[in-house]
Amino acid sequence: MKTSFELVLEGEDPSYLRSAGEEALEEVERVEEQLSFFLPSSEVSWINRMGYPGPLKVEPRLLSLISRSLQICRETGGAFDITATPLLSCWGITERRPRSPKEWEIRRALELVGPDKIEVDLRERSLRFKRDGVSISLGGIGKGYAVWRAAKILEEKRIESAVISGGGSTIYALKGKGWRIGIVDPVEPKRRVAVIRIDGMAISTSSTVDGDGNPHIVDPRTGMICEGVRSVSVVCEDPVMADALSTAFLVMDRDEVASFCRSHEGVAAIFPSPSGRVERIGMDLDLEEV
Amino acid sequence: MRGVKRRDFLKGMAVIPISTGSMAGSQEGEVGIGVIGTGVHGKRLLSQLQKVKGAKVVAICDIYEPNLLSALEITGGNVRTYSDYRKMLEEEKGVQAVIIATPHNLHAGMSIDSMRSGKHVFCEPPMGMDIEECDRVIEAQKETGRVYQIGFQRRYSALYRHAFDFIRSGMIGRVGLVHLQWHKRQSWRRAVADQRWEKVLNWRLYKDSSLGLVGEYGLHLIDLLRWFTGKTPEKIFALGGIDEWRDGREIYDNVELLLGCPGGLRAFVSLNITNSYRGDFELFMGTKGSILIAKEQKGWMFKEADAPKSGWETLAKREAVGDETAIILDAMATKLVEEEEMIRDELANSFQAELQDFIECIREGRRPEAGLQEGYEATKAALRIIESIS
Repeated sequence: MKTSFELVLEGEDPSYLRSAGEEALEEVERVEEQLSFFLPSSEVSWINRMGYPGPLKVEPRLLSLISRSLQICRETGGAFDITATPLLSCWGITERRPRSPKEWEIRRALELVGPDKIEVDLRERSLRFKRDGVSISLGGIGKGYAVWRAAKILEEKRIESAVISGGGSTIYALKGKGWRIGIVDPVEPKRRVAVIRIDGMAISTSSTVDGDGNPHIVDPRTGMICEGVRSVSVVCEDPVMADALSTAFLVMDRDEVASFCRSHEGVAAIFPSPSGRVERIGMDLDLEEV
Repeated sequence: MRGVKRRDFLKGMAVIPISTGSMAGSQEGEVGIGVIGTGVHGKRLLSQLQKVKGAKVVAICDIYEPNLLSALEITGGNVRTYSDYRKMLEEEKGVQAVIIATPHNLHAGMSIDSMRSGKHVFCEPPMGMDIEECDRVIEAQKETGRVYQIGFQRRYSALYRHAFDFIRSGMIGRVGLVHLQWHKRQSWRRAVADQRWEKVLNWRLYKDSSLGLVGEYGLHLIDLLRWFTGKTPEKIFALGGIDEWRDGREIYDNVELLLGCPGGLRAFVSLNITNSYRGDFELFMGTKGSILIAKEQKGWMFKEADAPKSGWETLAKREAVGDETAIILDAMATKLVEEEEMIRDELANSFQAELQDFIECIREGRRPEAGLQEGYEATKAALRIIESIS
């Protein structure tokens, strides 16, 4: 994930809050150790090395996350896809060296992409890649998963009020008194375009450009770089879903997003426009435009 | 170790014989595992065990129910749970081996009881809280012939094995100075709502149940020093204190050591939970170069200007580390092609690798690379250090 996590905890005993916060952050570290695409010792790296021909026994929690990711992929018509790494490599995104691939490179990479390239056996707790060269990256869902795991720790510790931020882009407020979260203009991050109040909810924001201003989102369905929408924020109860959908909604058109939100209750998308206005799709939100 | 199969190498290391005649667990079947202690580290091992070939976790044990419940999620729920490890040892006939990840003061007793119940033992370090306890563990192992492995995961890491090859082959010359560090700003205190559980959940903070920083991270570093250099500290200069987390704890939040080893080798060891600068690293400095390993994940070699160059160096990958250029230690780059399958396995997580080897030791009646002797020597050195700080 290569990102920093922050927690704000409210309560009466600072020592207790600090300890609970440390335990939650340790959980985030463990998730990173397991999910990292870059650490050779992570379970995801191991799956990428050994998944073909497989099968591999995978830790049940991770297998369930992979299985869920594949499900979201199907529900979004392939707009969110954990197998899209070969496409990201084509465009030099994984290596952080942007380049324009040849058409045949994209075509070849697309042959390795798609939920049908992975076989998950929940009963045997195993998975296998169906083709050599297939790989997974949980970068588009891992932050939300880490936030969710940290939230579980804080709930177990009966923390009354807390907000957890994964890199400032995936934020979850524990059910309690509610927190006001600012949504910024992706092009001018110092300018706030809206403020939303969340309580027992997550908000996740994705942008089509990375911190250096380079495009970094590829449409897994076409293999083409995504440049139309500047950013989208997704609000729903589950930080895992919010994280995944914020990537998916960047590459889906407005009709597809609206259709998804109609068929999935409790999901909303917020699109800031260059004019400073925001467009909301899906469930009602406690949202104020600035 | 280049050109030598890992198993041959491990066999060559055997010192303490173990009997194979009474080994439980067959070549064909899975080894039934019971995990005693499902706190933070127990869960980490439990998570790795899900991937270990030939291992089947059948029971877990912890006196704190929330630990058991969160551990159940990792196993997928299909294991029996216990709050009393003795009951587990008695009732679980299908448990052939136990993993012990409990407070330090319970390690020796649980190891002995387990071996006497016919179970093989994988125990986190330290081996015991004092030498007498360690002696009793050794006695029980000799008496029962069970496999006893200690959790020094670095010995099973491809990166560390690679660095070991370089050092032992003389690539960095005579190693005279070693810097070992484990730093992390973290209180080590668990949030305990019900004070009846304070001593149980915050066992790391009290001398009755914990050997502190030296007994946790220090032990791993002492073992690494012994493994890489073949030398055990003789002279000890040690300082420590509770400088930041003055919350009623008894163990130090920072410890600095200067260790003198035979042949003039010196090691600085810094263990600290008040400051996280540069995190954890191990640096071995020799007359021809140095080897640095950071966060158990990445390694580099720095050559001295007057050191002879080897042919392979022209092909080696380099990168800037600070203001120096270093050769990246790549465990994959120098291994033999026919060993590819093994290498791919070795590159797995070192916790997974150590547990996989534990299962293989049980099946093959082999002594673990990190076994009684390694556990004993490192624990003995740690106890001397703790005594000298006191």
